[in-house]
Formats: sequence, C-alpha cells, structure tokens
Amino acid sequence: MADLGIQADISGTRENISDVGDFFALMKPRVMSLVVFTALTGMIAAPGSIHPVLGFIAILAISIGAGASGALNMWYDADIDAKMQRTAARPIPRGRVSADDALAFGSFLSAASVLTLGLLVNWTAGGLLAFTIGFYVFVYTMWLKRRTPQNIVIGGAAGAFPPMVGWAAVTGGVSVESVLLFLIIFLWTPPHFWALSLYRCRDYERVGVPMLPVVAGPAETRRQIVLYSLLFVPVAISPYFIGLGGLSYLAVSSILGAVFLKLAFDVRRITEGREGDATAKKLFLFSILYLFALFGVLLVEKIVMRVMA
Amino acid sequence: MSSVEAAEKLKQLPAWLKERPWVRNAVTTLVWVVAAFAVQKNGYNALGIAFLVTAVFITVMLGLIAIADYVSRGQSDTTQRQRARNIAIAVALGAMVLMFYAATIVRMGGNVVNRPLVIPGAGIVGSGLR
Repeated sequence: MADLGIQADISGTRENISDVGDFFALMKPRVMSLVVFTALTGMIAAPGSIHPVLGFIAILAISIGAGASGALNMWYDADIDAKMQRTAARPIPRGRVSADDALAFGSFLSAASVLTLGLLVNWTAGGLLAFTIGFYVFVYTMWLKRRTPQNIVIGGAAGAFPPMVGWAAVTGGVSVESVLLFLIIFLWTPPHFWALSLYRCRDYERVGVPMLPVVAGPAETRRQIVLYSLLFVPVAISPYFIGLGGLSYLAVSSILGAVFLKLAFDVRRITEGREGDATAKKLFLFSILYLFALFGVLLVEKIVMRVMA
Repeated sequence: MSSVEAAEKLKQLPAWLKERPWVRNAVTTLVWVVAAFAVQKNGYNALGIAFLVTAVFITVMLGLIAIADYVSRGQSDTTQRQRARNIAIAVALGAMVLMFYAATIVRMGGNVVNRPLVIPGAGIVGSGLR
C-alpha cells in the first residue's frame, strides 16, 4: 500500500468530508452507462411498446440498481481496492466516503430501484433487477471473486442481465431473443476481462484475487481467451438468424467479429514483453467497441424499423 | 467529455449558480410561464396539474438552495458539503415523488383526478368514512 502512496482509511472517514460527487463515483458511472445502453437496446428491441414515461422510469431504475450494486461492491472490496493501482482512487480507499455510508447508500438504492421498477413497470422486470443486484453482490463479489479463477465467467452473468430486464419491462416476460442478448454479454465478459487482467495481473496477485492469469498463468489465460472468443463471435452474429437483427447487424457483427477473433489470436501469439501487454490492451479496448457496436446497430435498426412502419 | 470531467463540471454548478442568483430567478419565472401556458391549454387536468406540481417543486428546490446559500455564508467547507448532500437528497426525493405521480397518471389514465371526492351514500372515497 505504501508503494501507491495512498493513505487508505476503509473503516470510515473521521470527518464528514464526502460530497455528492463521491457518492456518484460509488455508483461506477462508466459501468452504469453501459448498463443503460444495453437495457435500452433490450427495451427497444422487444416486441410491443411501453409508454415513454414508464420506459424512462425503467431505464432510470435499472441504472440506479446497477449503480447500487457497484456501491455495495466497493463497500465489500474496499480492503483490496486500497491495494490495487486501478481501484486505489475509489472513494472509500481515498477516505472520501466511509464504508458504513457506502453500505447504507448501496442498500437503500438497491431496494428503491427494485421497488420502483416493480411497482411502476412490472414485477418480472423488478424481480430480474433484484436477482441481478443479488447475483453481483452475493454471488460474484462475496462468494466467487476471491475464491475461484472462474469468478469472472460466472459473475459476468450479473452484467449480462440488463438487456433482459429492459426486455421484461416491455413484454413482462423472458424470451429466446432476450436470452440471446444475455448470452452475448455473458460470453463477451471473459475475453474482455481476461485481456485486462493480463496486463493488470500484478494488481490481482498483490491482493490475492485468483484471476486466471494469477492462478493458471498467462499462457492458459491466452488460450481461454481464444476459446471464449470462438464461442462468443458466433453467438454475437446469431441474432440475425432468429430475426432479431437485420442485414446491417449481420454485416457489422461479422466484420467486427472477424477483427475480434484476429485480435484474440494475436493475444495468443504475441506473449512477451510490452508488445504482449499492448496486444492484450488492444483486445480489451476493441471488445468495448465491439459490444457497443453490436447493441448500437441493433438499437438503430429497431428504431428505423419503427419509424418506417 | 469523460464522466469524470462531467462530474467535475457538475460539482462546480452550485458555486456557479451561487454567483448568479438571476439564473435561479430566470429559471423559476420560465417554469411558471410554461406551467401557466400548459394549464391554459389543457385546463386543470392531469397534464396541467403535472406542470403546476413541477413548477412548485422547482421553485421550492431553488428557494431551498437560495436559503441554504444565504445561511451557509462563511461556514466551513465540511458544512457546505453537508449542505450540498442535503440538497441532493431533497432533490432526489422530490424527483421520486414527481416520478410516482407521473407513473400513476400514465398507468391509471388522465381521468384519475376527475372523480367525486364524496359519493352520496358511500361517503368520502377511499377513506371508509360515511
């Protein structure tokens, strides 16, 4: 901890110095933006319609639920966050927000978001949101993260639920299409996160989190990245074949999928030194672009279809 | 602009507003003008009432901020942060009330407010009182 030059006080702030921005940072705004985007896509792609006011409320509740689970994750992981370069500047390790405040904030927002979605939209969506928050906090954060290298594979499900919740907000149920949207993000998460952990593995090693590169080594991680990419890309293209995506979706998902696979094989091939890290970083960044592109095209296609209809 | 930069800009907003009280007054006036037009166009139905409730909410919030600014002059940084948090909580709760109001109108229909308060023989609606 000393090498990071951080004075971490995770037990609680001595002075009440946290401001509104610190609480906002607790909600992991970048993750929230991805959640909003994928949930919106699920909502627009779903058959049927929802009143714009209820649609807005659904998106707001889903994003706040995601933010709440982020706050609870930061509360639980404050001890290891303080020791990791990537997370040391989070509000709790910096001493800006006390752990107790983060717990209260996350718990209240979790309950409020679920109740709002359930009462104002429908209880299928509310129940799915509750399950998502519970899965992220209890299954991923508290159970899997510090125990198994498969943490990100199973825990990735939590990040994959938002489009299903969005879909359920409109239809009141779950269908093959929404499960496919779930699968896209579920299978995207391992190569995405393992690419990051390849060049951040010292961080995880220092705090004893059994990420795959720490436990099985970089070579096995690179092999797993290729395997999951081979699974992920066909699934990413498949919405076209069940009528969820159109021709432009097929084109974008195929072309970018080929690039994704090439980068994954590059990660497997180039293993040494700075170039190895750079290749992993390239895959990590491209994976974000790919996911945004997939959902973006789906979203645009559905909007255009509705306008033309 | 990244989300961090956006958050930083948002943090500066209260200070920016504090130096420009005319912005608060202008926003309040504008909100009431819009509400007045909405009521004139729609009458006192759900939409018109929604505009009026919004106008009252914004006025009360901006008023609270103005009072808090006045009271907290010369106070410590900690107190001012506490004040900002209190205002954020008040705004969030107020927005939640509005959101539930809007959702009620959407789900139950605009005529939800067009019903008699007292039904002869049945007493006050919803109260169980006769």
